[in-house]
Amino acid sequence: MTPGLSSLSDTRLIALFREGAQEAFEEIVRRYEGRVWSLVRGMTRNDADAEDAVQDAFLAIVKHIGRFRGASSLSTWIYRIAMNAALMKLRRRRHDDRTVAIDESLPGFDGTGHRVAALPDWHPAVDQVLLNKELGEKLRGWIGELPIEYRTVFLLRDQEGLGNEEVAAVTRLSVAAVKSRLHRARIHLRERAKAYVHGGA
Amino acid sequence: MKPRAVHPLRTCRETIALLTEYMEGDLPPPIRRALERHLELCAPCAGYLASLRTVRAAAAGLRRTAMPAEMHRRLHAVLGLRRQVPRPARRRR
Repeated sequence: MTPGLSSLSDTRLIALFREGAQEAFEEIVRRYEGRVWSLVRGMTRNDADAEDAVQDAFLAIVKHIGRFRGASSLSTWIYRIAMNAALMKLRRRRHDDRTVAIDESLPGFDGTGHRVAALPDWHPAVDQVLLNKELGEKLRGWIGELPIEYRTVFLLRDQEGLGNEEVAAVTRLSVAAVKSRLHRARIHLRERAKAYVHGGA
Repeated sequence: MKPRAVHPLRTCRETIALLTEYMEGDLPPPIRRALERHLELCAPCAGYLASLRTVRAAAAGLRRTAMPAEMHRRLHAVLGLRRQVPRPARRRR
């Protein structure tokens, strides 16, 4: 890696890349490949599709970098390209049949709006399951069950750590829609962890 | 279940629907205060909030999966990178 490139801003790197500096593109790849992989792997749920999506995304970045005007951050722009590449892979598969209906995860209420809990509602063991690194794969599996429109928002917000406004910019949803999907996704995951601790799947 | 008389402003349904916005700090002060009053009186809803925070922390703590080495090599070949770019040895947050 060329010394000094890693300390340059995204804006400067793009300018250098447009001037023909291959090293600038290499630095963009180095800076973003982990994030792109992480998002598309979570979205597609398998290595082969994720590999295709990562390649498609970076080839699209090379092709369209001239269109990048800086209206959004480079991060937002790259995440959007990555998200679209993963969605294209999923569409080509035509069905995404391992998801669950997340309405089933919403808590039950009685006629006055008070909650009806069939199971002891939460337990310290649930926290232990979720925070135990060895069970991270379990959580990944549950995230993978989310319908894609919820999975994408959850991955961007809670796994990738983007803010609500940036998730909205990547997905072109309203901030209110982002929050709504995030809320339902978190509730689903909470209920899955609870069911697991109480002896479910 | 909890006694209903102690919920002066909000039902559990209303409270739970607002918990993500509460966690994000996005509620207007009067609604936030009403929700906090509910949480003080309603242990199940307070537990629900704690569990949603646990979900958020668990997701943030997921180790970012690394691209398998062979795929990483192929990506750089497809992109025509002239030399191997060092793999970032980073973990999430």
